[in-house]
Amino acid sequence: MKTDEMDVLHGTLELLVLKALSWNAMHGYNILDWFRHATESELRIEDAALYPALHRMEARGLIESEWGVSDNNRRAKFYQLTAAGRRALRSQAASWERYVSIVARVLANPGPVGGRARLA
Amino acid sequence: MREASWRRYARFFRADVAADVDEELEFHIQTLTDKYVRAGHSPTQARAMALDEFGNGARAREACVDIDTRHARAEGRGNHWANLRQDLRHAARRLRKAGVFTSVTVLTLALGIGPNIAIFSIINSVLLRPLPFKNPDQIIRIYETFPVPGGTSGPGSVSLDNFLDWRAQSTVFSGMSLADYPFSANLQEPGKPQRLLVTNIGVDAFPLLGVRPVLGRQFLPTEATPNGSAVVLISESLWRRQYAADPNIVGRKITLDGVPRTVVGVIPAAIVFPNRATPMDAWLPLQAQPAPGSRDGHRYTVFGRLRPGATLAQATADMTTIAARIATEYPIGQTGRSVKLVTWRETVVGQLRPQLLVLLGAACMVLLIACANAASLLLARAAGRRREVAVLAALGASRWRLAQQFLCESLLLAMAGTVVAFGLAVAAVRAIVAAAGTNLPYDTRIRFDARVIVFIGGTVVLTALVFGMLPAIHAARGKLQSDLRDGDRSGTSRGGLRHLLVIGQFALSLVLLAGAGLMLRTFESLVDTETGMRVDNVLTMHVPVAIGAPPYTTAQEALDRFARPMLAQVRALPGVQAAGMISLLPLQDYGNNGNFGIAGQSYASDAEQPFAEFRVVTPGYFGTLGIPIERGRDVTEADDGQKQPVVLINDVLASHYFKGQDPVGKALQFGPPSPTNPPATIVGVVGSVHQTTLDAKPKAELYFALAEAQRRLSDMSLVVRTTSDPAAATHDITRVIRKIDPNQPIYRVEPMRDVVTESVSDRKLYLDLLAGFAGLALALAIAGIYGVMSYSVTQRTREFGIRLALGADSGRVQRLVVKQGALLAGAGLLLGVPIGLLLTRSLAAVLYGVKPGDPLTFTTVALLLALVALLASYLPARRVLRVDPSIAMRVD
Repeated sequence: MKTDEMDVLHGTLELLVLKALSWNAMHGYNILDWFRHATESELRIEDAALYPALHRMEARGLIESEWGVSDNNRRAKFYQLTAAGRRALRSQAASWERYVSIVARVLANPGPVGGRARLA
Repeated sequence: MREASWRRYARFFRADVAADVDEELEFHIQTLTDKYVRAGHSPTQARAMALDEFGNGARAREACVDIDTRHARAEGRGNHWANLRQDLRHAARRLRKAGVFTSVTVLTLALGIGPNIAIFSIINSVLLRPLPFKNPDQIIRIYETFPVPGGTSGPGSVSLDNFLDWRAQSTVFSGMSLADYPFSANLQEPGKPQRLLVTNIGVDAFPLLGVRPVLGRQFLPTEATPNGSAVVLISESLWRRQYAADPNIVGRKITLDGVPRTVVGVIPAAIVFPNRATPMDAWLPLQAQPAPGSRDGHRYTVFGRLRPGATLAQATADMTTIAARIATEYPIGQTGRSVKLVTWRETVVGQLRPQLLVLLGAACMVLLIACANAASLLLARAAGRRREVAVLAALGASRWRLAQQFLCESLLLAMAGTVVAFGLAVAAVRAIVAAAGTNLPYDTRIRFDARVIVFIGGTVVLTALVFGMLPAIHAARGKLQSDLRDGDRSGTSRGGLRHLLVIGQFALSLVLLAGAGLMLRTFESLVDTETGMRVDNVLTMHVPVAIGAPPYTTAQEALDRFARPMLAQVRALPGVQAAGMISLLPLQDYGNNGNFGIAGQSYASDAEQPFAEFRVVTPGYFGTLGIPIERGRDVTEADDGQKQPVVLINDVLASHYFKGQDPVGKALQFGPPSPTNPPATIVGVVGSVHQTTLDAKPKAELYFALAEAQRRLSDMSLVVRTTSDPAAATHDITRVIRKIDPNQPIYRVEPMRDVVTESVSDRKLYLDLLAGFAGLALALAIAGIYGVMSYSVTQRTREFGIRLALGADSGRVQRLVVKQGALLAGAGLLLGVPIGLLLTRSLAAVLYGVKPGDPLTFTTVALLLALVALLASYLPARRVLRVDPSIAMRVD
């Protein structure tokens, strides 16, 4: 466990799960594993917090689950995207990119024009 | 233990939420643990590290269970419908495959449901549909009651003076009006004389009833004055029939009984006032004036409209007080008279209600019997599907879901049965209404209103539940293990259930057959009743002679110019033995009656005066109908109006009022004596006939000679005795009449035998319907017991095989089967007799010559059913003979 890792931003966990499942069906442990890989362990999701998110997304019909057998030969619950989930991934990814670019533009802004003159 | 096994089944069918969440989370923790074990930690240590890394597992578990539980519940609601749709689809497919089973069951149910739809449609049309008046429940008919010798006072018509006093004094009615007797009037149209049913009504009668003309206007108050304008309201059906719905009919003149009258309006077809069933053709304004000092002429139908909020009880109290006041004020003629108030609806349908309800009850019984058959068929079918059901249950189908699958089949079967039944009902109602004639109110037919639709829907669901519930419960309660193993072999409990159904069917069949049997005995008693007439080979026809307007202004003119020459020519026809005329043909029309005095006796009041039916005859009438003249002589053509008038009396009147005396030669006084109203002399006594109905005893009766008749004789009938088939003489007779008067209407031509039959047509219809239901019940019960016994023989083939192999002779084995059938039927009959004794009491009012609990009827019916049961059991039992023990024992 590294001390400089960041917690996942509130509201983006769902998008990340959708992205994770866009490759193939995974169980919860897989998802977190893929995550550590993809973020090079710079983002952190608490293991326990993942599951309510998965169940909520299943109830909303974005993903569906099925019992299967894991690599270590145990019964595990596998999740995969539904058609609605795929649509949600596209739209959420698009709005995330837009959000990020807007925030980035704001941060790159040199500041108000003539602000100094007014103060003076 | 039981709980646990339930959970296990439930897991197949519906996920166990908490267990699933636990398993999912445990997998994650276990995988983490594995990782730490691989890294070299001890299992205990690894587990602790895994739990630590996982985080707040308890909170995650709680959140997941909560989300999933809500979701499952929401999904479950949607699933019920999806399941139901799926079950219905599957049921439909299964039923299509089982073609024979499906058609037999659907037909069985249709036979049960059809009578219910038919009878309910009639009940809806007759009892539930509002009368075609505004606020019809406020319309009250007011009768006068009067004392008659013998004590009973029946409801009767009202005199004009009493009506006027009632109307003036009553406070509970917002209005009161009246109508006279309907009579036939001759409509003179060039080339096509018509007989119309007409009556005089109060000019405010229709406005008070809330009846609006479809064309033209109501009568005006000025048209009520004597010799007021000659106007007429015609019925919509006459307008369409006779005048091709001419839009310019209002203002046109039509000639009724020789009087030209202006049509002022057209009344909707639904209005048959003051009748209940026979449509009226036209209405004239009543232009009667009260005769001062006389309160006689009790001839009017009086009705009132209750003020809003007033009740029948209040009206009765109010009117009784008024009647008592009138009786005190006018002791002569009014003593003992009072009133009776009945809602108009009651006068129209009152007598029909108990009969229709009995019929609905009978139809329900037929449906129950049909349901028992359908249930029996379903049980037999379910027995064949036990393995399939057991597999479904093992796969986790819930009991409710299994029951639902069976109920879906029942529902589809009931729906299909109802569709077929509806076709049957439409045909049946048409036939019943046609056969009923005026026994049912005007315009009875199947109406697709909300009540009928709700009734049909309710019948479908109830029927499906009644016959489907038992098999469904039974199927759902299957003993899984044994069913999976044994297949079809152990069918005893289902057999028991089917046996109970047979017992119930026989009980209900006995009740229905007993009811039909009692009606049959009633009808036989009626038909066997001595009418007092020789009715064979007599032709009757209505030849209404209107007296008082051209062409016959007096009775004497009608006699001289029409009746006498016509009778002479008819008698001269080949094949005619005798002919005569009478007003109000016996067993067809009645209702002219009144009080009279015997000369030399004095009476304190009308109530003490003799009372009799009045009819008018021509010479030859009694001879034609074979009515014996017991004393004195018949009227003759010499009995002319200028001499003292003559009357004949029947022997009931003679024995009642002239005990031990010879009535011939005695004088009778009708109304106050005056030079224009001399007493009449009795010239003869004739045999009594059933004048009104076959089941009513002959009443005291007086016959006037036609020439004496002072009133209009709108209902004269011609009776002709022929040597052979009376109907064959129709053509010759009508030609004779037309030759004398081409405008003379002739209608209702029928042999006297038919008149007698028609007089009991209400009972006949009732008998036919009950007999039809009983026949259906019998057929269904036979099919039921036959089916159960056949099934039982098939099921016990193996047992019989063993018995036969062990040396039992086949006759004995057959007797075993027949005995079982006999026991079932016997139990049903034992159960049915007390129910029948109780229920046939509801028929008491229509029975004649037989008592509700008639032992002969019940014994006959029980024997018939027992015989039928033996036969129905014997046929399957014969199959035992064909059992080959070596094959039978291998049957699986």
